[in-house]
Amino acid sequence: MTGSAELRRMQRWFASGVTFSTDHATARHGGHGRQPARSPDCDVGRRLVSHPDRPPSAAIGIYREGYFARLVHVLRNDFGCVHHVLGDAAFTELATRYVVEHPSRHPNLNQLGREFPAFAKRQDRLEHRALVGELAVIERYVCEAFDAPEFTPLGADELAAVPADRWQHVGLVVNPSLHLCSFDYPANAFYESWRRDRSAEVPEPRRSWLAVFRSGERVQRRSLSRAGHGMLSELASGAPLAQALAAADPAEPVAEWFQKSAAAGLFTAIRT
Amino acid sequence: MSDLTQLVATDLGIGLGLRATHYGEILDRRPHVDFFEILSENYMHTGGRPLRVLDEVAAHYPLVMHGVSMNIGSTDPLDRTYLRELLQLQRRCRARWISDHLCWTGVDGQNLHDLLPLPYTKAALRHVVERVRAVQDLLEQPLVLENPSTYAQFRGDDYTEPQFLAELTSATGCGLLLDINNVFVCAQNHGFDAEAYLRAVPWEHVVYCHLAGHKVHATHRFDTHDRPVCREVWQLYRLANELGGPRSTVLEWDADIPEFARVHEEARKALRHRGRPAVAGGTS
Repeated sequence: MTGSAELRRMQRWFASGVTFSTDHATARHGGHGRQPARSPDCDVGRRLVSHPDRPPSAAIGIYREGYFARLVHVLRNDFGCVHHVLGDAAFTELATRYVVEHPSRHPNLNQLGREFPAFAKRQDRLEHRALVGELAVIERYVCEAFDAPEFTPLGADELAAVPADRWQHVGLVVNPSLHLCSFDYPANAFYESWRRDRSAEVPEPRRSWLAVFRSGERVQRRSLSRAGHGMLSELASGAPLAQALAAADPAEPVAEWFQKSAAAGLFTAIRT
Repeated sequence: MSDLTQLVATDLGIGLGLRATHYGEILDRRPHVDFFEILSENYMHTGGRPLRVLDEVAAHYPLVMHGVSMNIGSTDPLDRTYLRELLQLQRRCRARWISDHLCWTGVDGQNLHDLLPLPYTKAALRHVVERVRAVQDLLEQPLVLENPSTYAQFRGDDYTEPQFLAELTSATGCGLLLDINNVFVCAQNHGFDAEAYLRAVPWEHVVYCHLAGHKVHATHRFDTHDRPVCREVWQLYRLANELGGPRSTVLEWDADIPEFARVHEEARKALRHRGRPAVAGGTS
């Protein structure tokens, strides 16, 4: 075996030992936790030493403990409201199982929680699963909006420069940080309450719609009507304004809605 | 390509790790700090506030870059996209150099976000030398590598850590970031003499030093960056200055971060242990 091949074998063995969680209870929850590739007693493991006074298994245990603590801590920071709803023990268990099933493959830890909302929604035995899933979506989109690329919002003068007879045919390019959500719970109201005083009661189901986006340096959450959500979804898919307006609520003053949305930074350009 | 001799001779003074919790203080009051070290990954794959803060800090202070995801010791292929993004970031903030760690952080595409130990064998040395050369060719500058804190070693090593560092720097011309706290933590964890380690360091390659605090557990010391520098590490820093002369030095404080003034005060203790004042570097 060449030196590099032996090094690779060692690294695979070491990584599997670090990332194997003995208490994540994957089987109990029907997940797909990975098993360590090799027993710690294999020949690679026997090359490992920590301190003369300690067994080799103690060394890899330090790395394993740090690995899960660090990644669960990142998820706890990114999903603070989900943590509030579940409590520390249940959140830690959920996050540990998530890390086992979705190990990081990106240099940046801000990508770690990308699949966490979908993962939470799949957990049959999770208390308040539907609400937790929606809160996780909000918190993930807040992270993504924060990290979204730079952009320049559409100016009022650019909007005003569009001739009246062209309005039906143009489209609006939406802010690249924009995420649109459709919920079964008033998740944003719950999230807002949690942010305000760190306490919120689990609500009854009620449909709600939300836009999460960044304007300047601030991440904003803007509650939408069903019609507003429909119009923005059409525009985000590249549809012309005429098609988006078909989703409008006849009782809602559309021109005012567009002005407010543009002023909030929801659009970046006019697509002709 | 930048000259390593020039980097080694550039004493920027006493710097701090730039942390988000201090952004307001730094931007509003613009305190007298010799330079800042940024965590490279905090300003990659992001837009908005982090980059705007970075631009403003870069306009007023010298910066150096310190990363945790180069994965230089891994047997996975080098991530050239990551390396190109590092270079873009350096151009944006005009960082004086790019550093990372002598370790591996993952294999088979997985990132464990930890600084995992390498065996110090001839085979590992050949492997790392080849990769450092490739990175330096792409970055067109000397890479600066830090000695990590470790909690495991390997039987059958061909070199001690300072011997490995000496061989690596000699073969590649790369620079060293000497983390004094890591030397002490490893010495305690693995039972070697920290002073002998410092005497064996190839000082002509040491670009800068790190200082930090660590936690004492029953079975080992853990590199936590969450408290002041301990007395023994200050003593080693003094010896390092005697052996190598004053080098640019950064205090790292990454968890339980106190207010800016406290971190700055801790960093400035380094002045007491330096033989000569900084001769280069900048401040606001």
